[in-house]
Formats: sequence, structure tokens, C-alpha cells
Amino acid sequence: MPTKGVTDSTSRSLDDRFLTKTVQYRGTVYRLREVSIAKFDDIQKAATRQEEQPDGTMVERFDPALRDRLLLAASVVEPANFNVSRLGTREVGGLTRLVNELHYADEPDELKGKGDGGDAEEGEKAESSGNA
Amino acid sequence: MPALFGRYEPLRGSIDIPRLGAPVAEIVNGTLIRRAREGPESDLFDLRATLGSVHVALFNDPEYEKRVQVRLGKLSWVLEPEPGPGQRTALTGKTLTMERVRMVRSS
Repeated sequence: MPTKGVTDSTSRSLDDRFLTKTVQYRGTVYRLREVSIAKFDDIQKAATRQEEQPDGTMVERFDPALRDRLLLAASVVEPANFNVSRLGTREVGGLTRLVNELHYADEPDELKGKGDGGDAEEGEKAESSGNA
Repeated sequence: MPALFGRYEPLRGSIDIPRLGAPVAEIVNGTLIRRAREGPESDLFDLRATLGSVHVALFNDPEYEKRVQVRLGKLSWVLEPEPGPGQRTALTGKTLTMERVRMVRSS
């Protein structure tokens, strides 16, 4: 889904198996890079805190807003001096949507069919037709 | 001239990651004790604080630079650890201890 106010240069590519994307937003060029699953797990953990209940039991509380903030910071490769707290709310929201797209959306069409983004269903069809 | 106040309490404040604008913990009760009334350590304090909710993993992750702020009346102060031997920051449960910190007016 396009993000309003963002000039998407559509320079999506794979960098050592990680999807990257370059966009321009309010005059700044951002290079975003998918994080590794190990880093993603660290971020999920960092965004979870232990909270003591009135009865003394401890429960885990996951903070999705904090997770988004940490994921955004970890995904921005350029500019190097990226500082979320200095940006406007709309800009942070727009970049967060792009980061979510980078991590959760389907594999981009231009990267499919290169042996690195195959559709499992298509693979299964090919396999079953080959067996027939 | 000897420092006027040797102790500030009760304090409230927060710990955050300035670069991310992300909160890490809330200081619900704290005490700042001046290390000396005169001499080179008279500008240094020790903090003992009780934290409310705290993101322990985030607090302990050195990748994120944290900022500790306390409020005294209407003014906010950042507690900057004084580099060098003897400086210690430790979180045990919900108790935060910071030794040898300098109070800097928050901008």
C-alpha cells in the first residue's frame, strides 16, 4: 500500500538475503533494511516487560508501539544519525508503515522467480504436475 | 563554600532512550545523596531509586544509550555518570543504584 508523502524509489533489492528499500520522505533519503530473525527476536524481547500484579504475581506485557519504534530504528541503515525523536509524528508513522511492509508483506514481485522468493503453491503445483 | 544541600528526596523521574524517544522505566521514588560537602566530589551524587514498570531487557541492552532524568520542583535534571573508576550503575529487581553521577540541567 503506498504511503502518502513518500517518494518510493522502488529500489528494492536483496542485500545478502535481506530485503532493502530506499525511499525519500520530506526531503530525506532513507535506506531501510530487513532485520535478521535473531535481531527481531531481541526486539520482541526488549519490548516485553515484567509487570507485578496487585496479588504479587508477575505477568509479561508486550508493548507493540515500542516494538515498532525499535524495529524502525534497527531497520534504518541511512541516514546514519537517524534520530526518531526529532521526527514528526506523521513521518514516524509513514516510516513505520514502510518498515512493517518490509518485514511482513509478501515478497516483492520483482524478486520472485529468482530462486529467492518462490511461491510455495506454485512450487507444489510444478512438483505435482511433474509427478503426473 | 560547602554545598547547601546534601540530599534530595523524594524524587520522581524517568529513564528513556533519547534517540528513539522510547521510555524504559519510571522512577517512582528516589534519593540523591551528595558524595561530599566540599572538594572534588562535591558535584557528584549517588542515586538510589525505586522504579515502577521497567523494560529490563532494554535497560540492560548496551546498544541503546539511556538517559536518566529526575525532577526537582519544576526543574528537570539529567544524571550523567561521571566517567572513571568507582562509577557504578546497577539494576536489582526494581531498585536502581547509580554511583558518581553529575546533575546536569535538562535542556
